[in-house]
Amino acid sequence: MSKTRKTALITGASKGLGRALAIEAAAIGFDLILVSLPQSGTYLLADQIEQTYDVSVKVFEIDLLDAESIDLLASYTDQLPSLEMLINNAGCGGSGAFETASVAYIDKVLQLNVITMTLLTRKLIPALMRSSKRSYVMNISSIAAFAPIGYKHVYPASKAFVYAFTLGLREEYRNAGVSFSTVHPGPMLTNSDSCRRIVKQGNIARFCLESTTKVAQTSLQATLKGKAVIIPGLGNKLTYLFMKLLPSGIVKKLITQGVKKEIDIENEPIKGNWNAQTIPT
Amino acid sequence: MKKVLVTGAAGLLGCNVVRALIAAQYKPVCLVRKSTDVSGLNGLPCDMVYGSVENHHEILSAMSGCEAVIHAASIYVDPKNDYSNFEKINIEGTKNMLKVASALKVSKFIYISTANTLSPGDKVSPGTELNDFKDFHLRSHYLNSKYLAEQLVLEHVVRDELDAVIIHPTFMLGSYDIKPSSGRILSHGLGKKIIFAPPGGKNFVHVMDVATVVVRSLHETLAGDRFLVGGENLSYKEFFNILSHQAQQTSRIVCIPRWLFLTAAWITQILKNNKSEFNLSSARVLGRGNYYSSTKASKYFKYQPTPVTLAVGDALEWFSGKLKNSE
Repeated sequence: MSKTRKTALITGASKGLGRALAIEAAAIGFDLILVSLPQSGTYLLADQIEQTYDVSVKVFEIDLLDAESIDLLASYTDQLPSLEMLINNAGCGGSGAFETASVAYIDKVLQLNVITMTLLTRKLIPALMRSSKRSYVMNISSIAAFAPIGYKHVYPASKAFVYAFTLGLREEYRNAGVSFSTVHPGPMLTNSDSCRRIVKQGNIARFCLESTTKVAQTSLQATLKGKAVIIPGLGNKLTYLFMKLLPSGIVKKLITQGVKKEIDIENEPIKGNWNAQTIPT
Repeated sequence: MKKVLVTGAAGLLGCNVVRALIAAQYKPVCLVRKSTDVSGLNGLPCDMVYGSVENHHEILSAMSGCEAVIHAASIYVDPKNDYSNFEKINIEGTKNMLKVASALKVSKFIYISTANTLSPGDKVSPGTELNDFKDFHLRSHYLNSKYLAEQLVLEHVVRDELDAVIIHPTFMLGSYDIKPSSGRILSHGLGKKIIFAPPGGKNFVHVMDVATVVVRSLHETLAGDRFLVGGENLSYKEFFNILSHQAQQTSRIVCIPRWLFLTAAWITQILKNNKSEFNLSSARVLGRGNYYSSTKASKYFKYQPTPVTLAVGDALEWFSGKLKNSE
């Protein structure tokens, strides 16, 4: 039995897209290593996944911003025969005027979305390369990676890093048995903030909205097929085309106006959401 | 005696939860609006605090001294189908409750949501807690507001270490349905020669089963977990057969085709300018197979779902008793 087992490590797995990815990966037979923040109910999720699907689930409730966390995961995966999939999903973001953003906020976004993702990939690549089968790295970026957006500053920039980083490694590991994919989801109902905004934004947001399960299924299938850039959902694909085809000046202006309007309405201080892909527009 | 705050205490679930709390040696504190009919709570040894979940001070005074909170207050229909009312009560109300509960460090927060924020399955593989919310596009103000409130609950679990649990009851039947809420399905079929059954079906549960699980969940540390609490999966046709049998009436049950049901909803929606309880989104939710499994809850809380025949029997008995009293 152990010969055919395959294991996936998923960060930010307690809720939202990470949770859906965990469930869908279990449904297609992956054993799981779930990583999420302390107190996030991941043990309970793991129990139910184990009882529903014939897979084993290991949980790490740790803060990925602690340097030791990555070492802990690395030493655990070093002991595994191999690792077949790494899903870098944990991320955070928010919106607000740049001059009001706290240093702590900026630091957290860059740490989690850029540094943690990079270091984790670096530390786990030996385990991924050990696999006798093809192994996969799925990095969760955002549709925001394709357009610089005012009032989001570090968030889209961090997601553009994910895009460039992933595609570079994809070339490097092309013949080494590790396939890299970058996923660019649009709005999803993964936290109270994104839900509230999607309800307020009306038809366009609703059109682009995909259920988290659907995004997870599409992303997993495409990753396993070895696709490089994955944009789940028709609405988001159209958004992507629209951003490519229209003069970029107009696009940036439109999106930035949208974000600004939203901030003016809310007039709330900037904030970050853990384990959540904050929506770009 | 440990005090437990119950919001929505005068509703169908609330009245049964309050009774289950008393039976388990708790002291219920009921937060109810001045305007609410509290006859379902008459004569019970519980404290009444008048106020609403929209008011921070009223919540604070009701929650002070309570060890746990059962937040069952919610609106599920609005005569004008106005989103701002759903937002005010279901979202802002829950936010207020969570804020005070976190500040007072209550040991337990039980949020009563609905099965329908988890997407249903069919009778062969009914929906479970692993299912995602997929019905946002239906624009059901009720479901969207309940789903959003759940996110708030989960965020407080992580941020404030609040020990909160989400309970997803399916369609509840039983005694003390004052309004009536789910009991309207009974009046739809009672005394009718021909009963028009909508397409699809539901999971039906005895409200006492849900109340039992709610009270048992007070003893467990389950921060951030969720449980579907249901009974039997029945098509509306099967349900009305049980109803006719229990009410000792002979009725012909006519199934409305799905297209006709949705067309009727659509026309109503247009005629009433989208300000009706019966609209396309409510019809889409009602007229499908809302089938769920409560394996997780029945294992964890060791409850055996009560047969629907008994739930219908209890509900009918209570309704007829109420009718007699009012005569």
